Amino acid sequence: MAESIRVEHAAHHDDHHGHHEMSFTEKYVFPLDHKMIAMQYMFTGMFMALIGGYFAYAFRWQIAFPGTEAPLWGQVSPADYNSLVTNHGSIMIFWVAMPVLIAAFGNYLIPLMIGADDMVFPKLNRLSYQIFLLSAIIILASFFVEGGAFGGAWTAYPRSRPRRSTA
Amino acid sequence: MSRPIATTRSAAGMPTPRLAVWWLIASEIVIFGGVLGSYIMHRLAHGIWADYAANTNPWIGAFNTFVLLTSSLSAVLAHQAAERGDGKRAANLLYLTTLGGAVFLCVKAYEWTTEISHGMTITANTFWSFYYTAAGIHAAHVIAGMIIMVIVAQTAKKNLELHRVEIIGIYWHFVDLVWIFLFPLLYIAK
Amino acid sequence: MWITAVALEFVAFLLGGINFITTAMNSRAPGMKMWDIPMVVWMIVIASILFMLSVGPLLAGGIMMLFDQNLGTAFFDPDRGGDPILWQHLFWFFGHPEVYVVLLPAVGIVAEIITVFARKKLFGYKTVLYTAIGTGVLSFTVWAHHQFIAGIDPRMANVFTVTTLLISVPIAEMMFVYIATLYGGSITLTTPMLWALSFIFEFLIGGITGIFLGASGNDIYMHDTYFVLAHFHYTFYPIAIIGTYAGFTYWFPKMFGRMMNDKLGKLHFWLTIIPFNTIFLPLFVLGAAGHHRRIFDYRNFPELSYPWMWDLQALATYSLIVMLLAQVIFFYNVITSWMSGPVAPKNPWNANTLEWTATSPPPHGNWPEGLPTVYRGPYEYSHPDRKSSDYWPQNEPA
Repeated sequence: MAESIRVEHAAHHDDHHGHHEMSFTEKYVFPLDHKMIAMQYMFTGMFMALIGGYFAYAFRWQIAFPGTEAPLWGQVSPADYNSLVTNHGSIMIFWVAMPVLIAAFGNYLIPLMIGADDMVFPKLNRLSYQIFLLSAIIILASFFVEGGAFGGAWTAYPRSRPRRSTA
Repeated sequence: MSRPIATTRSAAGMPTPRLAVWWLIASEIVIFGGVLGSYIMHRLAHGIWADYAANTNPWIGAFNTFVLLTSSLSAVLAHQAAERGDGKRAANLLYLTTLGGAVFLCVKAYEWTTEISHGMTITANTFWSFYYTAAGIHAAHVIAGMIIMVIVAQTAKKNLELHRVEIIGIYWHFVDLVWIFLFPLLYIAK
Repeated sequence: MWITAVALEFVAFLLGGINFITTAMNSRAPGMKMWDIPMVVWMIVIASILFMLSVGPLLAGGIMMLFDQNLGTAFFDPDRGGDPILWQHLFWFFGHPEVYVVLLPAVGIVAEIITVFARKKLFGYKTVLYTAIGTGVLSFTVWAHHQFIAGIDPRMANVFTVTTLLISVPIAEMMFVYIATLYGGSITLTTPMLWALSFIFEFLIGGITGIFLGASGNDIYMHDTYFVLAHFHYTFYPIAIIGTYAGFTYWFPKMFGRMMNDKLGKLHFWLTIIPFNTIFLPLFVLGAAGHHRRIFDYRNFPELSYPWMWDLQALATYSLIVMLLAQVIFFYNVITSWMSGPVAPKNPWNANTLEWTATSPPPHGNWPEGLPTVYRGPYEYSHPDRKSSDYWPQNEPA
């Protein structure tokens, strides 16, 4: 979904961008322009927000109407419930709030508001988005591997149990 | 693609790359700070760890400290050469620094194989876990520094981008400094 | 996989953060002094610094956790000499500054918006700045208030109670500055302004309930109930969702060169903000009544399943569904405005800051005809010396 919006952006922009020609890939898939990177962060963040909201919907349904099937999701098992809550928290904080508020707005606004033409290290900027995207793919992929997604709450506390031996 | 004008500006009075590497180091300090802080807290809580620490070999550690400090010296000399515009000499000194890093890693590898063959593996107990984790993260930084240093030296040889010599030097000094903290904490303190 | 994803994500933001800080420190336009930097830029920079200084221990902890799981070490396993509380310390040493990392940019966005739409100078520029820095410093000293029941020393809990209550002071001061900025301004209720005002209102609720929880004695009762959950969402929702919508609707003309539909924007605003309150206000009540947040099925707990409790839980869930559906309006609005909204002028809101002097949207390089020079601060609205208009762009020579 984020991808399709970016494509529309392309169609709209090509009309009045005559002075430097860049290929589509250069401009929208691997951009160096801080504004385009900001848009990538923004739409990836919004896409993740929709996923996080969907998770919230699934487990809220289970709390309010336990044992009934949530429309568009199905039965929520206790293990599902744990991993949904965990990943709702993780996604909303690490893959929505941080990228949108800091990375997207920071990328977009800092150069424009201080009167500079771009970030100081455009390639570093692009790299940081790519690493971020990779991490987003990993967290979503974790739902489809054997054993399911992590379900130990977003703080990921290790099991704390009474000490049996002292070493 | 040419560099943006933003990169060449210097409103804070410090060249941008140098400013950036200082911030990089600031963030690295807290990473090592996290490991070392946890280690110190554990160490204080468990007196028995001193016995484990006695199994480390401070002489090898001291030799490695010496190697790293020497390599830092050649990094400083490389910076001086770069200031004078002598790219060739700077490059050679950087290669020498890289060699120092390589010696450090070889000694480390020898040390670890002996220790592991004596059963002091990463899973032996929490002291050894910390020992390998902290030194391992540090070694990863040494390797990264060596790779970047070779790249910098390649361009410096052609008298290009000489300011990079200083930047990698700052980073190398930082890696050194971390070792200077690790060495007494892991080897000497009994 | 969770920890790998999180660690990668942090590396990405470390790189980004270095970039932000260096850019803001070094690449300012000629003439732009420290006090001429717009508030939102300051806030993002402070947030990046906070992030860089707090994330290290968690990255270190993440490595240790990975080793625990994959190599069989025992950093956090009490049976083999590890300490599970250590992870909690490492996590929250990052986790609490993290709240302020995302809070500060949102606060900055709100500062930009309320000054523009109240046509007034920001009431205390340096006050906001210093309180932001103060919050940042204090935020490193409050982390253990998440662990009051984790078995930490009660004396230590007292210390953390004090710092936790202290940190509400600078934040409250910031809110007072915003209210003072609004006072006597000529306010235009556009969509971004509505979002900004709701941010102040909702965040106040989040902040005040935080004071209850910050007191260690009270927290022992409240811990892990829906009260905590509602408090958390009353702080994070304004930050992450309201802040984003405020900024997005405010800068939309700049980003895409089109104006957004204001009617649809307001409809979306009301359909988001009312359900938001009806989700989380009931949860305060339920939390105070003892509902615990990690319970899967309340039918197993007769003392927690009175009919009124079921009604409130159902209300929260229905509200959530309404709120999620309302986002369809937002995306519809974005796409249609993007394709066919009225073309935006350079400066649709009559704002001062530099981004509004570039074309909408700015081309690559932002100002192809030459970068701007700055002559004054960012918030000179309704300046008494300026008769011709009520704003005074930063780049206009005196």
